[in-house]
Amino acid sequence: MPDRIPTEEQLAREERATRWAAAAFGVAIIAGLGLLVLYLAGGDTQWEGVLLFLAFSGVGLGLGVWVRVVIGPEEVIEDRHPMQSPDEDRAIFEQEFAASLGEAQVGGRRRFLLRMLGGVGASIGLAVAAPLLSLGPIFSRDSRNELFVTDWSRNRRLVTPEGEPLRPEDVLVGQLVTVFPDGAGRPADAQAVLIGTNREQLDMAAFPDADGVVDGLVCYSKICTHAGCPVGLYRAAVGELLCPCHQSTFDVNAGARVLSGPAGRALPQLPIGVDDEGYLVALGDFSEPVGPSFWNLTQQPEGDA
Amino acid sequence: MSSTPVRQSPVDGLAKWLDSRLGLAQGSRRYLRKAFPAHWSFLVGEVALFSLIVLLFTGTFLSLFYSPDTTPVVYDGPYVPLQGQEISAAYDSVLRLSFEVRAGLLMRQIHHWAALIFVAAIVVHMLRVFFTGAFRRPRELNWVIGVGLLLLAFGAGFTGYSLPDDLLSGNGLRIGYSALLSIPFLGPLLGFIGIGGEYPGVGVLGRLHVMHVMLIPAGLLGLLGAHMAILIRQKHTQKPSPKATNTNVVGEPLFPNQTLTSLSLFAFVIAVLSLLGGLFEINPVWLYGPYEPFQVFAPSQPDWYMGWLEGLLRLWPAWEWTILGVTIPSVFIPAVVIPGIIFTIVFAWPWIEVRWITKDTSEHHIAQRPRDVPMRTAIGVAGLTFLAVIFVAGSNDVLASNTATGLQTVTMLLRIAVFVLPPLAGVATLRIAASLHAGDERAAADAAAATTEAVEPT
Amino acid sequence: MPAFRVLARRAGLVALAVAATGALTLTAAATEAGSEAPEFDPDLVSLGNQLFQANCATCHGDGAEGLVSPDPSGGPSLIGVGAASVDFMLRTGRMPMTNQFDRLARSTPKFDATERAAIVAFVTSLAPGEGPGIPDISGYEGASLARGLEQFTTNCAACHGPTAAGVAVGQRDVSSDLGITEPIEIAEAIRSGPGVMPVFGEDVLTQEDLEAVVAWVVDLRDREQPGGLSIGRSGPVSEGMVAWVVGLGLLGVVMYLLGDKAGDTGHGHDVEEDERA
Repeated sequence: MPDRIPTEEQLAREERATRWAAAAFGVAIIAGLGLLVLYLAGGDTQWEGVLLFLAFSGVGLGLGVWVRVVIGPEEVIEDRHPMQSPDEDRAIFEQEFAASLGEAQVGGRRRFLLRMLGGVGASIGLAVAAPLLSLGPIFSRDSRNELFVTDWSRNRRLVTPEGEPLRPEDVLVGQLVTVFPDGAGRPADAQAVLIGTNREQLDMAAFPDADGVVDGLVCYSKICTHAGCPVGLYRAAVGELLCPCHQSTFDVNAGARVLSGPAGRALPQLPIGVDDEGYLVALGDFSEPVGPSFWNLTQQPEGDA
Repeated sequence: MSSTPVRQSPVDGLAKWLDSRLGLAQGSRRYLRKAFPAHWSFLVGEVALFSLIVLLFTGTFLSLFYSPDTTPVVYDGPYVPLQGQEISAAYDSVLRLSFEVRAGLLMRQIHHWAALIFVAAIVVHMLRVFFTGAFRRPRELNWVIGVGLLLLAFGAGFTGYSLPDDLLSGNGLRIGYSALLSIPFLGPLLGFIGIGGEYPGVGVLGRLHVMHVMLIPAGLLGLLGAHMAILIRQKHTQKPSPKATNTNVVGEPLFPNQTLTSLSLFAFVIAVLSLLGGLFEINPVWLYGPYEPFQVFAPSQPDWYMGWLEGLLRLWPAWEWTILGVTIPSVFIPAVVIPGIIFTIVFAWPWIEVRWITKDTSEHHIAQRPRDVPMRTAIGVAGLTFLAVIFVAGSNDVLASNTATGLQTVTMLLRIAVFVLPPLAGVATLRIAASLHAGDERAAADAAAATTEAVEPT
Repeated sequence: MPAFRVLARRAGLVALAVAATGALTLTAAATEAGSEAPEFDPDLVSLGNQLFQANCATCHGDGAEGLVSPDPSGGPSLIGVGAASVDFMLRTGRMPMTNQFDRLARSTPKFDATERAAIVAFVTSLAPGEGPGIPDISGYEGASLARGLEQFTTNCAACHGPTAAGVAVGQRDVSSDLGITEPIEIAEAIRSGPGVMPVFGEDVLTQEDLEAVVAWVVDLRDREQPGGLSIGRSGPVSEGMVAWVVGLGLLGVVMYLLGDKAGDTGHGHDVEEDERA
């Protein structure tokens, strides 16, 4: 091995380094024991982190000093050959292959059998992969409609997340309330925002259903039509609903049309009215499919809306 | 190995015992003296490897306490603000792990920090490989495997981020589902298969859990094994030097130098991750509250390595078309098409470069300097600039708050920047690299240095 | 600091008491629950009137009826906004503004407790009983944190963030950092909806909810951090920065020290390489 003759200076340096490495290992040992004691005594996230750091940086430092200074740099030179096999090896392999499975031996039968094997792979592969479809409800008729409908229906009351029904006067101008259909739990696709606006600021022509607005109260799907986050950020003074995820901004006073940001379509409107007892109810389902768009959004399969 | 007389120790005894049964000493000369180029930048990949090992160990610990169950339970643990609230069993198990399991919070935090560092180290490692041309023949295959590893790391991160079932993770999952749903013709089908029905689906956590603790780690370990096996077969690239040629490897021996160096680095990786895990709060899910599909908060960001995708979604304009009854949703292009294009280019880069830039198909083992191939370096810098802009856009709200600039103004500026900055950075890089390269060539000619190394001028 | 808080809170209660127990009888139908037909102290109202004319009338008009835009200094009408709104604006120094083009933002309050009570009395006397009154949250310290967290997440977190730190919510608006607000200010803001903030009426967000939200926001400030340093509490953004700067930074130093570097004297070839370059 290396024919380097250590000088006095080098020897002294290695001696010092050995002591340093030993000290580092010593710290690691103490920290390790400390960690164990700390854990048994009840533990503490911060101190455990610090002790783990001390223990392992002690190990790292010791090993580092050991390799960089005590052992010192060393150089080896290894040969490297081209990755490609030498020509004669290739030739031998090709010859052996041809002798066993090659065209010359097996002839046209080989090609036929290979094709059949390919067919086997495709057929069994598809059949074996097909049960993955069981992961989703895609075979029932209902599932085809699921993206188009929610639990809202005519005369269904609007209730708060806690289940309280609402009268029009409960909602002030500039107030936003998240509402769900009464008695349905809190289905994610039915979430809607009920907002009190200044009646005179509403642009009625922009609403899909102008009759579905009660006295300045408007109701929209709470699911962003962009990527589906709840559109919960309401800038009351300017009548803007903003999605906190990607900042699509919707104009509450004009049918929730998109003012800025990446959403491609307005929030669907939930037409609302008031029932005999004075509570707010839906007049039907949303004006369009809710949530992020999908390819056949405009072609609802036959069935009720 | 050492010239000083050695005292017989149990280790030597064990070595002799093993050799007499396995015949290890024969190969040791060949393997233990294998040369490892020792430049420090070659260690970045090892940081990724060691982070992964930490992830596997901490993750195993976590999985023994986590339950991927969305059944509602009433929380009665020590965290007062959630006592009496109905939460999912999954969120409950994360809270118990954090507050009641000794060392549980430390493990959780180390795991999360290790994930962030894991991806960061992969990215830096990849940049080193890219800018020094270390992906050229014969290493194209390992480049492709490496990019696959990066994708799996994204997958591991995303599925893990979603498991605690807190409010931040729930909305991340929601966005992922929307991206899937946006694919023309297949979207609703894939979405339903993916999460078991219309959002929020059925048993999503169970599926994510299986992917996170089984499928993705299996894929990671498999690809990693292939990555390392190919590395050993092909040997490292090395920095240019008078000794280093295309037909040798100059470096430190595997044993003891490289082994001890790696072990030392491993220890330091654990040390740094422990320090972060112990002292820096990460993903405090107890503050975010349980996931309810109608709740959200701002700012909502994904972990850093998803920031570029988030930024694309934030920057993309509201373009949504319906052609012949087929709607192209506005998330489809930024969430599916553009990432697809980016990764296709990255995967195919070794071949793209040969075809259009270097036209060089020969074998290379000497690392290039970035200036040696100005066009590659320029394209790389331009691409990085693009990624940097969209990455920043992923935090446009935080940026707007911290710079007292309007939110829409920030978005508008970034929309301009994404078109202007990458070409500018690319052209500037091209000129600088080309002039440095020309300077090198002149100097080399003046010195008339007869170097044998293979530096490929374009 | 606690002494200051107690003082400020006491001042708020004094203002409330003064506004509610005046001598002047200005009866009006109470349209809002919570603001019982108030009576006003004429001296207080007249002091308020003077202060209003001197500090507020330039933008809001002599009778607080608001100036019509496009007058550049046009401020909104204050008739019927309620005591909570006026008290909040003055208490947090948002009003009076020095420049009407400024963003509505917290600054040093200009008026002491009495002056503030006077202005509140004057403005409320213009439309007695209308608008939300100053809420009474004296019971918030015993409120349920669980309910507070739930209501906060439903109603507040979308703009103020999970830790109430505030974030940009639009072109000119940044939601307030609630870490520095007085409890009464939080309650007043919830009821009156200052700036672009929505209002939360009593029929939906009950008195109990209100106190619970205040309790949670206050609790959030001093909540211990079992995970360590909270690093700004802005979520994955600051976490990513720490991972890169602290994590990869430290490991970068380690790698640099462990590996070979250009100019390393340990290896001959590096030195030669440097000479060549």
